This record gives sequence, structure tokens and C-alpha cells, in this order.
Amino acid sequence: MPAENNELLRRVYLDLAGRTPSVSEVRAFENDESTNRFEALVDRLLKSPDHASHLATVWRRFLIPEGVDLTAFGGVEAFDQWLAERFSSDDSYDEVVRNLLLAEGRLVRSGPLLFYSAAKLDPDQLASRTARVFLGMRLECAQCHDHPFEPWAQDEFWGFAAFFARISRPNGTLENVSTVMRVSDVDRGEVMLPETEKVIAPKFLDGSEVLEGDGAPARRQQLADWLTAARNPFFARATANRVWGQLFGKGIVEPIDNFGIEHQPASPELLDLLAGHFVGTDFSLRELFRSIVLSKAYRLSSGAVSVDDNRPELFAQMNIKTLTAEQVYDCISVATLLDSAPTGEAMAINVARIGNTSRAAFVQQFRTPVGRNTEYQGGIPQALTLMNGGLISGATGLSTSGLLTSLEAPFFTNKERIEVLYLATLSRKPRPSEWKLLDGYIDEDTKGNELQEGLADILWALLNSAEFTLNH
Amino acid sequence: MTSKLSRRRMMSTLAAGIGGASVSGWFPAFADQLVSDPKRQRHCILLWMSGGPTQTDTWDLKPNHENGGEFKEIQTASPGLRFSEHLPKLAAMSDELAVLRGLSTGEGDHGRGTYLMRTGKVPLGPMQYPSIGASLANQLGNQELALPGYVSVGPFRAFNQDAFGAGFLGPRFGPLIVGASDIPGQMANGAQGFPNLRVQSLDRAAGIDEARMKKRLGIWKSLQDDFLKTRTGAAKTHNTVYEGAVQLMNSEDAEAFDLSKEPEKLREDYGRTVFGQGCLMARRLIERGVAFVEVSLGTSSGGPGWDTHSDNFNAVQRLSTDLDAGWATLMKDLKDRGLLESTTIIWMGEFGRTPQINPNAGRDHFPGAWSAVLAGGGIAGGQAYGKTSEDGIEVVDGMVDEEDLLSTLCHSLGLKGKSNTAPNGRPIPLAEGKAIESVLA
Repeated sequence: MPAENNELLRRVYLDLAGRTPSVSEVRAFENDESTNRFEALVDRLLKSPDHASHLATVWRRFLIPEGVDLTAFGGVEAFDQWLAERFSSDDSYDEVVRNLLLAEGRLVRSGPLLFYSAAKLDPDQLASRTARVFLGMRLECAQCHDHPFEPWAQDEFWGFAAFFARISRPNGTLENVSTVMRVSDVDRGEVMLPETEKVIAPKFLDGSEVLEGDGAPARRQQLADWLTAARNPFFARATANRVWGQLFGKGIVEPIDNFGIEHQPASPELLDLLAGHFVGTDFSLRELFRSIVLSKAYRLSSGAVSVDDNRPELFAQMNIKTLTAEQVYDCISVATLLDSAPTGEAMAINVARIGNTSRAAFVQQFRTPVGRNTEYQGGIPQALTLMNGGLISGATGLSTSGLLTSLEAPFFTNKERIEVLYLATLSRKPRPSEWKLLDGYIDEDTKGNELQEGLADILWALLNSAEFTLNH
Repeated sequence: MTSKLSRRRMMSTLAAGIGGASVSGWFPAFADQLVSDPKRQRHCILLWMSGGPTQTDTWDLKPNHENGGEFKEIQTASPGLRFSEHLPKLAAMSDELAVLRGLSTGEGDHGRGTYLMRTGKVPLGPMQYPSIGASLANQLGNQELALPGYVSVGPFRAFNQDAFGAGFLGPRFGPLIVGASDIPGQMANGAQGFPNLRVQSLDRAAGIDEARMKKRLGIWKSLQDDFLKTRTGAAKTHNTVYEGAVQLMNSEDAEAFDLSKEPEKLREDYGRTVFGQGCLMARRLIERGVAFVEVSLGTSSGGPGWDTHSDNFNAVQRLSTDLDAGWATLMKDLKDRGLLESTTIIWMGEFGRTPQINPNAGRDHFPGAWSAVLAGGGIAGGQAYGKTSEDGIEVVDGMVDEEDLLSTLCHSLGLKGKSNTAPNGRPIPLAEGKAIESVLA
């Protein structure tokens, strides 16, 4: 069944802007009577700064592995900023990837070079990450021996790694090197098969010719050209699958970065169609997002009268997706007017993401292991944080909550006040069955302290609900 | 007695009946009764040495070789078994300890080694494996307990978050974290000068009393019930996790985390460190029925203390002193309460350190030949298994790997041949190595 209007509204904000809509954004959509209001909203969101900064977070999370301390290399902020600028100006994705693969300069400058410093400039780490994030292949299984399931031999892994052999790198470990060190292409350096002296020459995965000798372009340059070429069968498919997976909680190939014999696409035709469209639009991510979000499949409900696990698996019903720690913070922030005071202009809400230290602190504490985003990964610590932690007590505190303070305005009826709480958190009004229950807590005669506490309690329950914490 | 009944409740019932009787009067008798119960719950404590602990300065000294370094060897209570001079209390309890000197593993990177040792699997494979804590919580946990089955005290998780997670078992078996180096202020000292270890946000927010919380949860429950009518998957898991958190908040057993209830003298014996107080918390959790507790050592500075690339000997002397106090007191305390026989203790880090000493008086990463230790329940103590060469660089006898170590641990806990079930229904063995028979009791 198709999603209800408000269900779809909330979903598209979470997927494209990384946050729920504000009360005025919900109302603006509800009051828009044009027939193409959803299409217009999608266009507006795709051009918003929130979309660019949200994508920057999403991309950074898979480009840069967790658990590497990057403070010495300028930290992730400059990297996020660089990505956000690329997405904001709708740079074609092949260009973005070439910039990452050919990054050079001083380590401390961060920006795109963080892709290299996070992999410690190791050819093997760079090879496995590059194959995984841009080509959807887990070559690393072939690092120590021929791949057990896929047709990748150990030589092929190291042949791929050889493209990263000729960059300047420190003599010792990266931790001990000065961060003013410059990374650039150099004219020597090889990789060897582990525990042997056998030098492996660079080799493309599809057997294309590698130029060697005087006058040949640098190895990295050749790799970047090959990887992002329109005729590369892996790049466009892997990217289309990644974006699909991000929007549906599950790729057409799943896991999204594990293309191969063992993981066949749920629909090869769909994957080819999207990949062809992506190449045809000059690798425009924005266009790719737009096409998928406007599809019929994306507009299906996540609810079903009868529970059948096969339906979401085959995209006949939307998957319920979990929010990242960043999204949880942003949603609470927008819902309770935490960081961004309303500006009076309905569409002027932009969340402060890059360089927001209270957001970073919350994310640090709240983050969960990376898994399929259709599986709830939070545990007791995260539940306790949302029930009793500082962010929520601030957001529901009578003197601290921007939302609760705004509800003190005398022109609201109590019913309207509760409606605002629902719109701010769940992007919908209470249902008739819910009003019955809510009347037991607050009716039109409730006032003073009892009213304030009652509203705070309802807000607390809404913020802790599965409906708020999940993208459905 | 039934194993389901909380031991603490049993003890307080007993204590109430006994009145003024001295502890020494009934304690040992009660302990004996516990030991003889074959069906009682088993527990595991992991002492996690983040950064990679040096074997040459702890369990496998080389006093006659230039690699030996500055420390002397001392004789332990077990004939022929010798430890570092900075582990005197553990040396006196060596009958409980089995040192494995032939550990040889394949990962010398912090992140990869951490994942390898804590899951038994190489990282970045096709599956997210559970950490040994989650695995054992699944196997040994008591479902009716409000406390979670896996508690982690003082972890430094930055090397590899996933190595601390529940992997395919799901968040229900993930760790409850007490004091973490990556959360600001969590390792700070409290009023009495002890580390202020606590579960973050376990208490209701300021100004919210019990009645108010109940009211909030009432509204929350109706929202949940409504939403869950048409939805499953993540929504259902979210609900289960929240129910667990609420149960924990309301449980009397949550006082396990309140160390101020312990005598000052005992707290001193454990040591005024995150590790020492963590060991005490481990005992309080184990006696309330928690299956798995891990305590990290050397993380209170916010980093991995055992990563001694420079100034190894001063650092290791300090770490050893903290280790000795916390661990020895823990074993004694567990023993006094009849819990050591049902609790297996494992000591390890992500790898060992080079026998060679570098120009900065440090030792570097070395997974080739290093040590781990097993102790307590199910373990035949008082021995060293395996042997390294004179220079410490090679294993010459009794070589074992991470899977063998974890298999031995699982056997000692009565989990021989057991598996977890992956979401696709496939059984995944807890460990796939060969258990070392001679260190099993």
C-alpha cells in the first residue's frame, strides 16, 4: 500500500535532509494544494544545505573507517566540509572520486587527502577500501589467499594494490611522521606478494592495458581514469546500488559493497537501468537521488496489515530504517528548537552540523556498531541516554526547551499545543484513538504547572518512541 | 538452591536470619554449598589489556638474555613457575593461574588485533561476529535478570568499535558500558578519591520522580503499542531494548554499580584505579548473576596504556602494580564467596610486544610469540603451557592461536562444542580451535 502523505513527508526529509521536518515545514506541505507538491519538495530538498551536509556525513562514514584517530591529520571536519561543498555544487560523482583518488599535498591539510591518511597510505588498505567503496567489491578476502567464493586470485588483489605503490610515504609508521609531509606521486615503489620477494605489477580487474615506462601517466592517474570511466561496469552499478541501499535500507545487491557470485542482484534489470541513467546524466548524484525518491517503490508504506518479511526484502513494502546517531541528534534539535531558533521564514531551517561540538559529543556517546541500517543497533546505553540523558532533559525541561517555551503563547488551545508536539516529532497530528488517551492527561481545563508538566511528559514519550527514533 | 534465585537476595535473607553472627562463621559453609551445585551459573571475567601487553616483562621473562630488560623474576607459589617481580600478589596465588606462553597470532595492528582476539575472527569478513562478551552473555546469561549479560568497565573502544559489539547476535547482547575512555569525564575521580565509575544516565533525570516517570512510560507504552501493531523488525527490537533499560532502572540489582556500599578497606585493596574498582564492580555483578564482565587496564588516561613504544619499564611497572592489586584481590574476594570455582578469568590484549627493546626503551607490536593467562573455574592452575625461545622471538613448544585460546575458555565454562545462531539460522561455533586439555581442570 502507498505511504500516507505525512509518512512520506517525514521519510523524504530524513533521507534527503537527514532530519525530520519542522512544524512549519509540515504545515507548508499540508497546505500546498498543487498536484506536484511532492516533486517540488524533493527538488527543494536536493538543493538545500542540509542535503549537502547530510550526504557529507553519510559519505564520510563509509569513506573513512571508524576507530582511526585522525586529529593529527586535521580531523574529519575539513573532510566533511570538502564533501559538503562538492555535493552542494552538484559536482559530478566521477569528478569527486577522481579528486579523492588523486589527492595530494600536506597530510595536515586534511580535506580529500584524509582518504589516504585514514588508510595510513598503505597500498593494501587503500586497495581494499577503494574496491569496496567505489566498486562494491570486497577484494581484501583475496589479500592473503585466493578468494574463497569469488574469482579473485591473490595476484589480482596485489595487482590492484600496485596502483597505490608509487606515492610518497614515510619510512616509519604514519603515527610517527610529521604531518607536514607531502603526499604526491613518485617514480618508484612496488608491492610484493606477502611473505615472498615477488613484485606484482599493476593490473586492472578487467584486464585493461596498463601503461608503463617513460612518459606513462602516474599509476594513480591511470587507476582513477579507469575506475571512473563510463565503460567501467562496476563503478556506476556500485554507486547506484549504494544510493538505493541508503534510501531503501537494503541494496539491490546486498550487502551493498559485496557484488559477486554469492550476492546476485534482486533485479539485474533495475540495477542496469539505474546505472545507465547515472552514466547518462554525467554521474549526477542529485539526479540519481531524485529518480529513486520519485519512484513508486520509494513511496510505499512501511506498515502492512499482515506481517510478511518477504515484502520489504523485495521492495514491495518500505523497510524501516534506523537513524544514525547524527540523525537522532538533528531530529531532536529540529523538533525541540535546540540549536536553530526559528527564523520566521518557513523554509529557513538549516541544522548546524559541521563543527557543532555538542552534536559531536552526543554522537560519540550514542554511536552504535555499523550494521545493516534496517536493524536497530542501539542497546541499553542508548536507551538510557534518550530517557535520562542531558540532551533530552534539556529538550523537555520547562525552562530550557525552545519548543515548550513557544507553546506558552496564550493564543493556543491545549489541543493545539498537543498537536504541535506531534507535528514537531512525528510530523503528523494525533489520531482519534490517541486523542482519547491524551484527553486523560490534558484537557482544555488543564493549566499552570500541571499543563506544563503534562506537555513535557508527552514530549518525552514522543521523543522516546519507536515512531520518532526510526525512519519508516 | 536454584541457580535462578539471586545469590545476593539469598545472602541478605540468610544474613537477616543470622543476625549478629560473624561473617567468617557462615560464609565458608555457604561457599561450600555453592561449589557443590553442579547446575549453577557459570561466569567469565575478561581482563582486557588495551594496547598490547608485554609478555617479556610479565609472564615470560628472559633474565639471561639481552631482550630480558630491567625486571627480575620471582618464584611463585607453584614449583618452577616464575613471574615478574612486580606481580607478587598474583605469584602468591599462582595455583589458580595457567599461563599460556606459546600464543601466536597473525595481527599486529591495534584495530585488527583487537577484533581478532575478541571474536576469534579476522576483521572485515562477510559477517559481523559477536565479541566473546556478547557470545558468552548469550550462552550463559540468565534471561530473567534485570542486569544485562555483558558489562564492560573502562573500555577504550577507539581501535575497533565492532570488537566490543554483539555482531549478528543483536543489541540485546551488546555491552553495558561503565566508564569509557571515549566519553568525557567518565573516568574521573569521585568524592572519596576513587574513580567515579557509574552507568551513564541510569538515574532518572533531575526533577523527575518515580510517579512522573511512571506517567511518562504510560504515554510511551501506548505510542509503542500502536506503532508495533503494523510494524516489525527494527521497531520490535527498539521496544525490547527499551523494556530492558526500564527494567534495569527499576531493579534493585542496579545497586551493583554503586561501589560506595563496599567497605573502604576492601576498596583500597582493589586499588584506587579504574581497573581495581572495575574488578570490584565485576565481583558485585557476578554475584548478582551477570554472565560476562570485562575490565580494561591502562585506559584511564584516555589511551591504551599497554602500548609501550617508549619508556616501557616505568609504564609496565605501574601497570603491573595496578594489575596485581586488582586481580589478586578479585580472586580472593570471589574465592571467599564461593564464586571463583564458577568464574573463569581470562587475561589478554590484542597482541604481545617485541622481545627486543627499541632505542626508546620501548617494545613494539608483536603477535608472533606472546602470552595470555587463564584462571579460576575450570582451569588447572599452577602451570605454564608452551615455551618461547631463549630470545623470546619464537614459540618452541605449545604453540596456540586465538581460536585455541577461546576454545579453551569455552571448554572451561562448560560450553564445549556450543554454537550461536546467525540470523539466517546457521550455527556459528563459539570458537573453532583446539582446546588445550592440559590446562583444563
